[in-house]
Amino acid sequence: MKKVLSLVLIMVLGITSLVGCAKKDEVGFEGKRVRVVIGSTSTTGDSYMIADVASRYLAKELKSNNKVDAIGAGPALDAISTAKADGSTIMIFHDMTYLGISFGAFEQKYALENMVIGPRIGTNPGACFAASADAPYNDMVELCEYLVENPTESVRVAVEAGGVSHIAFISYYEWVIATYGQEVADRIDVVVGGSTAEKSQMLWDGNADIIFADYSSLKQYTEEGIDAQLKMKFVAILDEIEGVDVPTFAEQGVTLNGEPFVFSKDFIVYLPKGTPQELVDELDVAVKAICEDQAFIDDMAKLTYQAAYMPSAEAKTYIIAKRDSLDALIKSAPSLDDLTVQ
Amino acid sequence: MIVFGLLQFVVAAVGVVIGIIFGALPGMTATMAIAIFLPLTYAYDITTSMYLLLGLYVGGISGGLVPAILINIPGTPSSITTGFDGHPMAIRGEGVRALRIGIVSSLFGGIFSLLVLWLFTPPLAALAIKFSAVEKFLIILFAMTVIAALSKGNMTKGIFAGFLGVLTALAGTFADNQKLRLVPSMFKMDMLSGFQLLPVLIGLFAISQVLMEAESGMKKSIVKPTKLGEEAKKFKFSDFKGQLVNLIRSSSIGTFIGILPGVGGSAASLLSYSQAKSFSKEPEKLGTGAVEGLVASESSNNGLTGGALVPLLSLGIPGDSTTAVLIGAFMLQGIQVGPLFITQNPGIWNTMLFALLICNIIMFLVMFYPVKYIANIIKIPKNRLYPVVIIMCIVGAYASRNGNMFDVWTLLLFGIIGYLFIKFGIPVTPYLIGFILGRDLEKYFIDSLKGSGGNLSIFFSRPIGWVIWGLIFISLAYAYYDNRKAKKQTIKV
Repeated sequence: MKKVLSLVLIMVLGITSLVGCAKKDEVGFEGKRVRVVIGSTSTTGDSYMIADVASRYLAKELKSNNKVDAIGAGPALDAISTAKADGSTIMIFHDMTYLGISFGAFEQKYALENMVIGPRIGTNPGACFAASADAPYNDMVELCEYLVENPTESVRVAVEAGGVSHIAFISYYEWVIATYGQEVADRIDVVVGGSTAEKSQMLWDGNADIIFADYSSLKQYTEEGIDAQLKMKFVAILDEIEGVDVPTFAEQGVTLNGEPFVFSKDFIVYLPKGTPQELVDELDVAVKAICEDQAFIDDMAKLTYQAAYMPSAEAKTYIIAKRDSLDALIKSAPSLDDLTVQ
Repeated sequence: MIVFGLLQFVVAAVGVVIGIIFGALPGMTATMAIAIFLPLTYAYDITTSMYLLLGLYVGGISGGLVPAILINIPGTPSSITTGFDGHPMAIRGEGVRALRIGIVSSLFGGIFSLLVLWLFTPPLAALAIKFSAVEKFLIILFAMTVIAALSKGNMTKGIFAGFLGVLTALAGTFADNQKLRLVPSMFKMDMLSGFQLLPVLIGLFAISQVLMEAESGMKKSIVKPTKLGEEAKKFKFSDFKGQLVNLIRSSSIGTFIGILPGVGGSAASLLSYSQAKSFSKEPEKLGTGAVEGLVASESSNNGLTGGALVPLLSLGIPGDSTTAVLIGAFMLQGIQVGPLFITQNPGIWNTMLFALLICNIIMFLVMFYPVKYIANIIKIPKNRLYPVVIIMCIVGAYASRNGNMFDVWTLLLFGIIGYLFIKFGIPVTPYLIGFILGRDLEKYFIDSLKGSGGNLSIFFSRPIGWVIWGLIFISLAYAYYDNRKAKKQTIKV
């Protein structure tokens, strides 16, 4: 009896191992636990919201178990550089993926060339600048005029090092130099801020005059009935949102290399270097399917984001071109150390 | 209208029980519990989700007292001070009494903060935004004065350990410029975010304790064999005689610290404990198993729960790390929390208040009666208990960041550091307090200077700041006087 039992146990173990081996060779997301890392620690910003909504829809398409892990930019870049290229870890993140490297905030080894660029899921056109409701200017052009008329005044703008706010500020700063001169630009100082909550607090504390955040997260502070100390107003938005009446950078005449400055955050799926093409193809099909799903489009629209599928091959060319187009500006821009309040 | 039915009751009860388990396991916290269960809430509407999430929150904060009292390992960072008096009581054979005092204090703190949330949310939110980075820096500095109060007779070493803790906390990436500091190059990948609090906390408290016990030869169990089987002193509600002022003061401190975004729950229990010591008629008894120390710690950390919801619901800014996860639940349901939340969503608001009440009551019922069985943990022979504790600590450390092996090495490293501290007579608790408060201390110091253009006089230019400076000096003067008195007594002996 013991011999039979031993034999059965050995056979079960053997079969289990073989089944395990067979599974390992299968390439695909089906049945996998997928860790979706994002470059933010906040659960309220656009990074988390888009990753969470997309992960839930993708889980149905890929038949996988997806979990968003909000670990922050540095750890996310590190995770996607060191994770196994088997689809168990992916990253959904916006333009900070390359901006952080271009600005020198993160090491070159995290460059786009060292990861696989997957499909684009969506865009957020709502990156914006906001000021206290009682600020003596209503947009970023009026801000310059205010500084021209008040030569002893200066303005502090809260931005995040290596983030989208950094590129938006630098482009604005360069435009101010070209249009109003260095003296006016010198009176626009940077204060380095973190999450939207921290930047809002800086505005309320009087430690910053203008903050950079996402339109949907600040909208409530601009509405009627808000306490005077909390009330904000939008002074610029980087791209157009349908039905939203906030002046864009382009409408205000802010240009980059002579062209109107327009910037939407592109949320793309990134995978570890060496990820099999089959996995990327599977993701392409799944992302295309969810971006055609009206429920996903509506969920994104509720948060003022846009479902915007772009196949991985096209997304790769697109995001590298976007990075390279900003490279010259970033290289010639003064460092944040020089722009911060001295 | 309040939404409540059988489903909501079951969901709240499940949340509280799971929260207590998370709180009681070293390395697991209320924040982790909410983060893990957040996806489950998609299946429910926002009001039912709130019962689950608030249950996890209340349970997670409350469960931390169990290991703190029984095995002197804080289950959560905010229950560090619970062990100061709770564990000596357990050693005396009063484990059940200590647990029940802690649970009743937790209920009082929770209900107190709920009343504050219900009655005073708008004015308190207005007060909270008057606390800028300057005031927050000073409050954290004030909380650090507890180091001086705890280092009676050994102040120099205590302050040294405290600042060493601050220095350790600063290792990692400096967020403003994304540059690494105080990190050896071989660890730069693992230490991007520095040492994590949970592995450091359980390493210093649990692993070092196990190493000490291993060295001295393990006694059979934590309590003396003569005290096994029956309680030396039973719990009575009269234990709270003379504690009403302490309860109200500590709950108020907990609630108030909760209201201030970004100050953290550990500061609440530390401040309450140090105030309980300052106002005590017998301050020398705190730390030896005094009821008032336990009451102060537990009422303040549960007082935090309602307090932390004030800025979340009225400003859209979370009061602590747990409510930072909670805000995600609202946003994913398409509800924006902020200045207009209460007026635009009266139904959800009233349901939340009711859910908080129900969760506190369930927490009390679930914990108060079964603790006499849970307290038997300390009767387990140490050679069987400690291996389980070590495994739990390792699992907790590994799980704290979704499976990061470096956190397990951190746990073991700080276990050895804690052991060496004890050997060299350097107090561990001030080191840990410095570690917990260090990052916030630096952050608000720098934020204050950013706003003032580097002008240090900003710390002395605001009226609320003057009041906090006054409290800091009183606290330091008292600690200095207490320290001298203790030294004189030692010399006499």
